[in-house]
Amino acid sequence: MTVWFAFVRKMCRFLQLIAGVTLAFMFLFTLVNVAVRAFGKPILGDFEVISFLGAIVFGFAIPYTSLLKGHVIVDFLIEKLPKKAGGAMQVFTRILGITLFLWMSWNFVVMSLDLMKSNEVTPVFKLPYYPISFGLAFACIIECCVFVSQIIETVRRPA
Amino acid sequence: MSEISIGILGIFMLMVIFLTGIELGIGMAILGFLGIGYLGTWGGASNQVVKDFFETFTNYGFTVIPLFVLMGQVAYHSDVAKNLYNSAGKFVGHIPGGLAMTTVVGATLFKAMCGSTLATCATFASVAIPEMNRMGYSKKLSTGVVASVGTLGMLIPPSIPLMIYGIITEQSIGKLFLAGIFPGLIIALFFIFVIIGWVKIDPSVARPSPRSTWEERIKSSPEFLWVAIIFSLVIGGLMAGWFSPTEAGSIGTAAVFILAYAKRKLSFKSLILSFDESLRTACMVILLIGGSVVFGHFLAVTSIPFVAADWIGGLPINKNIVMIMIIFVYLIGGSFIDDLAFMIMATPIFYPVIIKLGYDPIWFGIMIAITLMVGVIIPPVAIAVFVVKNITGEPFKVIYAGVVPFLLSLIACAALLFFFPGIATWLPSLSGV
Repeated sequence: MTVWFAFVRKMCRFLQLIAGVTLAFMFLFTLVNVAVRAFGKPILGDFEVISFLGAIVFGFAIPYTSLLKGHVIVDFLIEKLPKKAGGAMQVFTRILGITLFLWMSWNFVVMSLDLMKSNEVTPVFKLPYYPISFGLAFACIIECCVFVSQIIETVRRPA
Repeated sequence: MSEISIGILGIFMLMVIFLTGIELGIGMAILGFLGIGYLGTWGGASNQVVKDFFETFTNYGFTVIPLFVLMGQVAYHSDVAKNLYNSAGKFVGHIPGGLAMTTVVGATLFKAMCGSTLATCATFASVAIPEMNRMGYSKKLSTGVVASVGTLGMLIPPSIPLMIYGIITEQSIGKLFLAGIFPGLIIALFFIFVIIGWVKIDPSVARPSPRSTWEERIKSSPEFLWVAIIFSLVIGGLMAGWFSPTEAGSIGTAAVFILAYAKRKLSFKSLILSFDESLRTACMVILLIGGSVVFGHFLAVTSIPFVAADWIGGLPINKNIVMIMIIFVYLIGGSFIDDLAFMIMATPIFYPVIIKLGYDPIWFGIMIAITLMVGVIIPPVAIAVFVVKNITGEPFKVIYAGVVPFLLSLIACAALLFFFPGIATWLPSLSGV
């Protein structure tokens, strides 16, 4: 189990690192764009680059945020429940999460294959869309792993 | 069952599923999917959910969030708040209640760079409360003022809730920022009046600090100048059309970086922490938005927002009463879920109603922001109070008692804005954005 937890943590940190580097790049890219635009040489297609970078920032940061329980939840009722019932509720919501993200991951893969087939690219830089949707599919899988870890933690917690 | 009944059942189920402790964004996405699938086809629902998340993640407009959060986090980790507090203290610290006023002034200025309520509460709870304790201030006053000033970031630009409201309702973020300035300053002023009144009634709650010399004051004034420069650059540039909101976030972050670097206040560790916090906040917000977009599509299929707009618009009651009721819905909903989450969820439903009733959407955004401010300091989910409690260890009873006078001033400002909407709409009307 320790190996599994370490693996999930490492994967989350890895995706978070990519998201962080992308955020830094997005920050620098927008700065450069403002600067060159001031000299009458704007980067054409800046919107599409930033949109792509945004998808990496948001999508890849989800698992780590979940790992640290950073998403908004309503906990006032489950906190009042007996430990066992609270645990059961926690397992139930994790299973719902796994179902959603597994299914989203599959659909992102299907979407990526469609985008690959149709060769859909952005108008200016001709950036293909499919790597983004593949990346999101991967992030969804890691999100499922986080939920599995949380189920294991809940089940192993002493009553 | 009619589509409307299914929509109402969906909203009810959403409330139930929230109580299970599921992440709100995930809960909204699941119910949105089930609703769209039930009313249409399951294949269509699958495509819709993935498309909604993909479009949310790749939406240029939302990239403004991590950049402005980053700006605030860098300011938070580089002692900007502490310096502002010390400088403001040199000017007003000697007045009875002066350290509490210093907290208001310092936090108002800090808010011009950092939109995070929690970061402001945490910073000022660590910086201002020990100082007020040292000077023998009443715990009610010291903790109450710190919990309350944290809320100012909901209004004073760059406010994250206003950015999100602007994106959801397709209103100009620049106009919303401008609209938040006067109400934000009025609330800060009201907070100062509360402190003056409190000290007049009971002088024992706050003793004056030693008076600073003019030399000390002049020496500390560059701290204000930096904030003024960064604020003018970010908001001015945005309003002048020099850059988009996303670019304004980058420019602001760069300016705060330069300031922190020049003062040698930003270590590599705090830089990493700033990025980490920004990612987590942005991600928390985007999952909420993604889920609410899916759920919003389900509601749109049921026509609930439009039917509600027609029904409420046709009610034989004064439209101001309807507006007050809507604000109460936000307040109550936000008290049980999370204020920002409830705003993201409820705005697509109520926005058509507001438009139908003929209210200004910019003004409504500001009213919602004030409602959120109230929401974060009243139970059961008084997040600003929780932060102060965690840092100071003071009992909830003391902090809540301290918050009450400031809460009343927030309500007074909301009433003022209700009767004089021009306080919010005048400045944006001049901008021509």
